[in-house]
Order: sequence, then C-alpha cells, then structure tokens
Amino acid sequence: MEKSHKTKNKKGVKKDEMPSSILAELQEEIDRISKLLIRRDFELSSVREQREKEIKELEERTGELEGARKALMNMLEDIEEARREAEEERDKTLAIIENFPEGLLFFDRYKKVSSVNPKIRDFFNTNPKDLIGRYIRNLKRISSLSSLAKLLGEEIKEIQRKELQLREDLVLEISTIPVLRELEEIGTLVVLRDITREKTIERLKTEFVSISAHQLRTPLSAIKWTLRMILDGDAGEVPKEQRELLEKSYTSNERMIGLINDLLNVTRIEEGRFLYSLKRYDIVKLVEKVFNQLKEMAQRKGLNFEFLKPKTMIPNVDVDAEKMSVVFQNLIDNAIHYTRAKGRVEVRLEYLKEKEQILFSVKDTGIGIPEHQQQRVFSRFFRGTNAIKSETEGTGLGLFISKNIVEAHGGTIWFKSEEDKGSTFYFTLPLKAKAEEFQKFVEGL
Amino acid sequence: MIKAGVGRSQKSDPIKAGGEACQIALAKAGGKANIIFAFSTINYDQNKVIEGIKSVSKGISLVGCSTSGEITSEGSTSKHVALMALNTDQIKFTFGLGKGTDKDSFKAGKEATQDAQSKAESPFSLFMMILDGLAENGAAAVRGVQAVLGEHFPIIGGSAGDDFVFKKTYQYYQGQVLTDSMIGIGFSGKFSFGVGVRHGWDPVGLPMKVTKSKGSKLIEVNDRPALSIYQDYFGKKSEELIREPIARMAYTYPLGIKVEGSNEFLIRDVIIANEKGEITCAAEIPQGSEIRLMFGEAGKAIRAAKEAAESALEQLQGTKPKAVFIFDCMARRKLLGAKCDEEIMAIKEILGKETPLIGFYTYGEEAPLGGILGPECQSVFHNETMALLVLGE
Repeated sequence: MEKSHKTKNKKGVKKDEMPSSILAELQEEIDRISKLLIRRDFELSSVREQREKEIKELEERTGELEGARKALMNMLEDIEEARREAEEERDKTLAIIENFPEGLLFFDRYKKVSSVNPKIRDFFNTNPKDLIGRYIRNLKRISSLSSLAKLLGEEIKEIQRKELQLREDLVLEISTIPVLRELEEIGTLVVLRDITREKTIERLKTEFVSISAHQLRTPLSAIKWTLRMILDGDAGEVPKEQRELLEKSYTSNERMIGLINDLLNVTRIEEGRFLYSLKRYDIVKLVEKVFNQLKEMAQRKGLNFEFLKPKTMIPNVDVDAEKMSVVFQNLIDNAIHYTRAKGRVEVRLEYLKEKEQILFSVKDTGIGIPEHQQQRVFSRFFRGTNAIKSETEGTGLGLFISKNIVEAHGGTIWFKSEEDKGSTFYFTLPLKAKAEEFQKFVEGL
Repeated sequence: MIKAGVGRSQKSDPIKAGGEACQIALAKAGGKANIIFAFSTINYDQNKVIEGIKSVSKGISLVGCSTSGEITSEGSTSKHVALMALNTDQIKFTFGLGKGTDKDSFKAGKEATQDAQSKAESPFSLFMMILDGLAENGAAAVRGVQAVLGEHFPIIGGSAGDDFVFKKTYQYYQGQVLTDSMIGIGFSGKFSFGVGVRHGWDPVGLPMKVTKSKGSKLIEVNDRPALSIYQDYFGKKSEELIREPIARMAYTYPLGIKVEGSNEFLIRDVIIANEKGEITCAAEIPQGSEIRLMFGEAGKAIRAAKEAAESALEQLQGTKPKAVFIFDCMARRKLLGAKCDEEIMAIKEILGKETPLIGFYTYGEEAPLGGILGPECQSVFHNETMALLVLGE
C-alpha cells in the first residue's frame, strides 16, 4: 500500500527525497480521519445506546400504560356490570311495587308523596301521577283522599291496621310503616289493604251465628220451662230418682242457655248492637249479689272464698247493671272453676279516690295462664291449654265479652298470672262514665 | 448418546428461579444428566440460586459462573439464571479448581488443570475453563493450562461477568460459590466437537508501538502515557476516562494485536485507567507489540458469529450438532444493543434451530486462535470475540 503510493506520486521527483514528506502528510491525514471517524462513531453509538434505552423505557411505559388501560377497562366493565345489576334490581323492585296486591303510598321525610302504585288509582279513582309531589296537607283537597288524609293526620301518625270505610263497597285496612335507612327516617310507607271481602264474610258469619243462636234459644227456653214445671210438681209428684236426673238435665240446659247468651252477646258486640243503659248503682251491692250466687258453688268445691269490701264508702257508679253483672260473674266464675279444691279465691273492691275510680279484682290460687299464651287472653274463643285440660266446658268468650263491657264503661281490664301459682284479674271503672267515650266506643263497634 | 436440555428463569426469588430453570432443563434432557452448566445474573444471591438449582439437580455435577447476560436457545437475556443439563454416556467430565487468579493467573490455571488431570481416568481431548472475569492476566491462565496439557491443546471457555459492574465475579464449582478462581473441566471419551472463534472487528488509524508494559498493565504507547490513545481518539480529558471503569466507555473500541497464524487481530479489552495514565487490560500486551485501535460494526459482528458457527460445523465432519456452548464477549452485546438476538439467530441458523444452546456474555474468551484445531491449534485469551463449542454425534 505504502509502496504503491510512492510509485503513483513520484512524478519527476527524485525517488529518495519525496516519500518522507508525502508519507508524513499521508500518515497525518490517516490519523486525522481515523480520529474523526472514531469520535463520530463514539457519538453515534452513545446516541444509539441512549435511543435504545429510551425505546426500552418507552416500551416499558407503554406496557404499563397498556396494563393501566386494561385495568381501567376492567374497572369500567365492573362498573357497567354493577350498574346493570342495580338497574335489574330496581326494575324488579318496581315490578313488585307495580303489581303489589295492596295499595302503597310512600311519603318522603317532608311528608310529600314520592311514590304510588297503580292499586292506589283503583282505590281512589285518581291518576297516581297527579299525587306525586303533593304534601299530605294538600291531599285533603282531593275528595276521594280526604278521609285517608284525615286518618293519617298532617304528621302521618303511626297506625296499625285501622279500618277505613272508603265507600259502600270498599273497606281498607290502613297501616303506616316508618322507613329507616341506617337509623335515619327517610319517610313513611302507607299500606292500604282491601278488606272488603273479609268484612263481608265476617258480617255474614256473625249474622249466621246470631240467627242460629236465636233459633236455638227458643226451644231451649221451652225445655227450661217444661223441666221447671215438672220439678215444681205441677205435673204430679216426681219420684226422688227421677227428680235427680231431671235436675241434672235442668242444670245442663241452663248452662247451654248461658253459652247461647254468650254467643249472642259476642255477635251483638260485633254487630255494634250491644247497647248499654247507664244508671247509678251501688256497686258493692252488685258485686255482693253475684258473690252470693256463686258462694254455694265455691263452698261445694271446698274453696276459701272471700269478698273483701271497701273500707270506705263508695259513691254510686254509672253502670249498665245487667252487663256489669256479667263481668263480675265471668271473672269470679273463672276463678272458682280454675282453682283446685281447698284453694283460695279473693274478691276485692277498692275505691281509688284520687283517680275517681273503682278498682275491682279477683285473686285466685288456681292453674294460672301459661306465659306464652297471656297475650291472647282477651281474644275470642281463647282458652288456655291447661284450662282445656282441667275444665272441659267453657266457650272462651267470657273474657272477650268482659273486656268489651269494661272498656265501654271507660274502664281498663288487665291481669297478672303465673302458671300453677294463680291469676289476678283487675279492672277499673270511672265513677262517671264519660258520655263521649261511651258514644265513641259504641260507634267504633 | 448426547442429549441436552436448556432452561431459564427470572422468578424474583433466587431459590425458586434456580429450581425452575433446572427443572425445565432436566425435563428436556430426559430427566437425568451427568453435568449441569449454570450461568446467572449477580442480581440473584449467588448461594441461593445455586441452592435452588441443587434442590432439583441433587447430586449432579454443577459448574458455571456469574454473567453480564445469559444466552439460551431462546436468545439473549439479562437478569436471568440459565442452565444446560447434559445427558451423555460417551463424554466423561473431570473437574479441577485453581485459586488466586487475582494474584497469579498462570499458577491458578496450572493448578486447576493439574487437579482435573490427576482425577481423570482417560486422557482429555478438550479442556473447558471458567475464569474469574477480573483475573490479573487472562492470557497467563491460558498458558497455565497449556503448561500441563501442551502448547497445541484445544482450550475453550469464558471469563465470568458481573452485569457490567467490574467489581466481583463468581465461579460455581460443584455447588460452591467461589471468586478469584478458575474452574477446569476436562472432556474425555470418544466424541466429536468443533470450535468457532471470530470477532469481526477492524483496525483503524495508525499502528502504535507498546513502548512500556508489564503483564496486563499497559504503561506507555509511542512513548506517551497509554491513556493518551483514548484521549486523542475520543477527544476526552483523562479525568473523564479514569472516573469509572474505562471499559464502560471503550467496550467497543478495544486494542488489537497483530498475531501470526490468524487473519484477525487478537483483541485486548481495556478495563480501568489510573491517574498516571496507565491502562489495565483484560490480559497482557507484550512490550514491543504493534497495536491498533479496533473498530466494531453490528453487521460485521453478526457476520463473524455466523462464520464462527460455520467453521465449528465444518469441524464436526458430518456429525450432527447436539449441544452448543457460546462464550460471547459482553462488548459485542453493547455493540449490537437491540440487535443482540440477531447474532444468536445467525448461529442457530447454521447449527440447527432445535439444537440446545447455552452460554453467557463474558469478560474474556479462551479459545484457539482462528478456531483452528489440530497440530496448528494455539489457544489464547481473546476479547470482543464470539467463541463457540459444538458437541456433535
């Protein structure tokens, strides 16, 4: 290479002189070019290395972003899924409300109608849409809704199964339910149940019982009088054996008449025909009369039977004597029946002067009422399971009738009882029955 | 029979990574192996990664080292553990250990070879060495081997890396993790093999004369401090060049020595420079040598790798490649950058896409000059070179 340079460049110059200068020049040039080349290459490779690093970082970053994007998409999908579920749930709930057999009316916390189901339209002949957003106080102006608005009151009282006769052919049972969310009241749900059919059936049943009882009572009265005449010897002397049998028949007949009377009383109470005539009576005498009637039965059973009269004088009380006697009779009779031989029955009459009330109580050491059944004591046809075992007779109507009579007089009836230890029944009577309360009671029936 | 399996893993737990890579390799090798070659990033606690491998490999012989990147049949990776399980009944492996490569590489090389030879039942036909990447003089270690096995003995191997930190490298010897050590593996028995050794770097600029050197320390060039070469060529101040290992800057601009018996220059990497302007190289550059600055190019480097594979295949004389070992200089990885997989692909195209392949990016390669075997074989210490070994059957 170097030699070829020499030959090419000799051009008339002496062979020994010229190469050294040209050679040096060439070498310098090669050195310069190679250094330039290396610097360029060094720079280029630094740039390339930097670029590759950047690309790698970019790829990583892209990867991360892609990951983030995917995560976001997943999240969005989850949200969409949750939204769909919530919508489905809402549609389901709406469908339930729409098709609910009872009328639903929801008031928000500002006492404004916030939702209504189609049943409400059937009940009130109004477009549910017209009700939305109305305050309870404005509902009175809609004639079909005024009775409901009155019943609920502007504050929307808590109501449990109150009946509302909306029309001749429509009876509703109204209940209100406060709606809570995390202990905060967000509104009130009013449930309107159509009980027209139930009321009709109930009325028909009462009528049926009433008619049957009446029809039964007539022949039973005939039997009673016939037996009485025979026992009194109006049809000639009755031999002793026959007399005993006839007396048993007479007692049973009397008992049956009592049962029929109970049934009739109940039907009257239910029909609202159980009217009372109030007169001033000496209540002590009334109790004493019943007490004496039952004394013989108690003594036969060997009971310690006592009447603790009030220590002070009691003013006369406004009562329907006949009905009140039924109450005394029922309570004392129960005590005697459900107390075993040699037990004690204590009848007490007190005067609570400050409250202007009479407090009557009958305490026995009888079988008591099982705790889990105590709530139902005053319901129709209720008889304690232990009572059914020890006494086969009894209609389960006595206490129901008594409660109605006491409450009609403005009194309150209650009891305390412990199974196998005994029971005490109490009731109070105001000295003067308040005419309005009495009236209201009779109306309510 | 030669059956090899390769596995790699980058699980974050080193024990699990070692276990996983080993499981994959063993399964591919047919469930058993005579020897396992393991190469791992220093990112993993070295003892733990070996513990993970051993939990699967049990009593199988285990050798290897830390790397600056791993190579498997799947291509080039970093921050992995990669290993090959080799299952063969015709090659017998004998192991030797030499210590103190940081003080006397020749002695360590000689000791490792003697140690292996003393245990061998039959003569070696090939010797593999795994050397500490920061050995005091890599070329001396090769001479240590030759002092035992003879001047023309075929030697192949690589120097351990440490992910370009240049601080401490590790060698694995029968499950122990060592440093400043050399591991020798003698191959005996009847088997065929080929080697390929090429770099593809070209000299640039004017030749320079080494006026003063001592071992791997280059002191003066053209009667000037050795570092002036890089000051001149890079246009950088000496402070900049000595601040951190000069290797990080000069990876791809090494020095080349013209040697007889090879048409390629023998390359020496520069590792570190000091304030006196002295440069420590990966191996010696004898005083009086003529050196050139070397200049690499991606296309040429890949072509060189392909040529190395071709020459190795030729040496198999018709037998089929069964396992490939690659000792590839970390500088080539730097030069190729994102293209480093192309180099591995070029090799696979020649040696078979399905042939199991293991290797790592080294701090030095030990291999015959020009890849020549036989009586002309002259094994030396290289830099910037693709050195590969193929076992055939």
